[in-house]
Amino acid sequence: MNGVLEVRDLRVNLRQTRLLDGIDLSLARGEAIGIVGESGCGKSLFALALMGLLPPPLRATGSVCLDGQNLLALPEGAMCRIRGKRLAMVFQEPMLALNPVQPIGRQVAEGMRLHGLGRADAEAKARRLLNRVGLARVRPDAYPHTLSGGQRQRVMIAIALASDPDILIADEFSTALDMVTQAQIIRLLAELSAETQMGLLLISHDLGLVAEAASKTLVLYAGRPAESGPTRQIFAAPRHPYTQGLLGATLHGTDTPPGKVLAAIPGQVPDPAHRPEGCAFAPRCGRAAPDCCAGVPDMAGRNANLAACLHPLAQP
Amino acid sequence: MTEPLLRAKNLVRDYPQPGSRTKRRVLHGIDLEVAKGECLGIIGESGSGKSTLARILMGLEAPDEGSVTFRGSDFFGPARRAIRPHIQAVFQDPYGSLDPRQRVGAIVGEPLIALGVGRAARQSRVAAALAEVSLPAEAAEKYPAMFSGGQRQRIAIARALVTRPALVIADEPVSALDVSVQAQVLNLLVDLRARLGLACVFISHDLAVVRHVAQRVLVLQAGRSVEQGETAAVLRNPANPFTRSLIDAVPKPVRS
Repeated sequence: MNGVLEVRDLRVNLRQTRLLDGIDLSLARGEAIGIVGESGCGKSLFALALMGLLPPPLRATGSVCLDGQNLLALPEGAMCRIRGKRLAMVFQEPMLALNPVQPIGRQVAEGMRLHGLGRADAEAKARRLLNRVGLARVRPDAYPHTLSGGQRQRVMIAIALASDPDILIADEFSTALDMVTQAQIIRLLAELSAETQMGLLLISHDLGLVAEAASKTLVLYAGRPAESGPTRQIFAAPRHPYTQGLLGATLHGTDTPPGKVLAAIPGQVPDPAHRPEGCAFAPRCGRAAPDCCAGVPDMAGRNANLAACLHPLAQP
Repeated sequence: MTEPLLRAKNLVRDYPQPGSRTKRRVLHGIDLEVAKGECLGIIGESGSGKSTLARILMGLEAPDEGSVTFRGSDFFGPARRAIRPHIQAVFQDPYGSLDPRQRVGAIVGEPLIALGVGRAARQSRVAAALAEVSLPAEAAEKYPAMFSGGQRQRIAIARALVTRPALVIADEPVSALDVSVQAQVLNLLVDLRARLGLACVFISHDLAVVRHVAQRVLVLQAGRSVEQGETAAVLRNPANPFTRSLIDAVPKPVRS
């Protein structure tokens, strides 16, 4: 199957500083990929680069191809016809992303009107979309402040779905939601993706949520890829020490004995302007050897599981 | 039975509704107890009344009905000034809960000013509190902006510890943090309970986190306490379908 979205060697530069460095990704129809990493690893920047929403003076190089067309080479006018239509995004904070003085039905219909649908059709479709995301009992003339956080996030998803996008990017969609709502929303996204063959990019720092819905995962560290592969495989037997560190710091539901000392990763993510020489994770890594500081390791490995590490963990 | 450290009885809280004469009841008669050195977890969805309950237990608002007693004396009565230093709060957002223009030493020492502790004694107790949360003494000279999220939350915990409280009320203390940082803060809370015998009310929507730190758990749903008991027992065999739905919502990175 052809990848609908192909990202090759994506870099984002702020003058001399490489904020994102050499990201590859290939997303097929109906597939869900998780992007994980701590704050400051470049997850949201990656989403903005794909959407062509980088604030100047940030610049993206490399290629982001949607069905063979390189989006980075498109003029803004052409990109406007793709953004929101074929490539949609659900933002982090539903409270801030919705317009407080417009009824939700209008906000769902707005994108469809912009992309050329008549008023009556757009309104009818908005109603259907609200039903589909589980808001059948909410009136289209309700204002955002009358809705709960989970309901607002559902409105955001309805807006993103309005143009039947090929790809939906969800950036930390769950952070503001409680656990039960999170589980409902992730299930809804997975269902929608199966139903419409829409590709999903799930950006999250919650490994559990990613494991719930994404078949593949890309781990980012300090703006560079650390590990990628099938989610089950890399979470069950990570090869990069950073992936292992994230898993060690995570509570594994009822599998972690209560009160057990969690393996926190020492130190913090380096600022991209002060990335250490060689492997950026080396200063925080228990397996670091002198050669780790010599050069940036390439993504390497067998099968589908790649890791950018000179001394990867052994696989069973 | 010995008197618990904190006892809340039949807590009721009503909020006025704009444009209406009727009030909305957000807490419907909550009973709870926290023993010395125990951590009680409070879990529920958003809108279930967790934060209102937290604010009452912190003494930030009074209940409309019911009572809170600390070591047997009324929380909202004449003894409140004497009780206050023994109960401290930790909030969710370590970016919003520290004054960006004060040095860490001043932030952590501020509760002691209210208690009339002199400057020299303040300095040594601030240093002790910072050491308690594994921050270097030099941290006192820096500003909050110079610290990471996890370090800031440790500063907030140091501020709570500086009065040597018997009880800390923590409202979603790790929800805003990355997993690696969340692990640091959870480790610290578990360690403080073991070393200092600190009792804790830990409020969270994340069952995995509550399970990790709390010996007993109270499940809130729409302002009612639907289940209460030993954490392990409640999770093994939840009596209430709502509790079951919370347990099912916990995602796991690796499926067994």
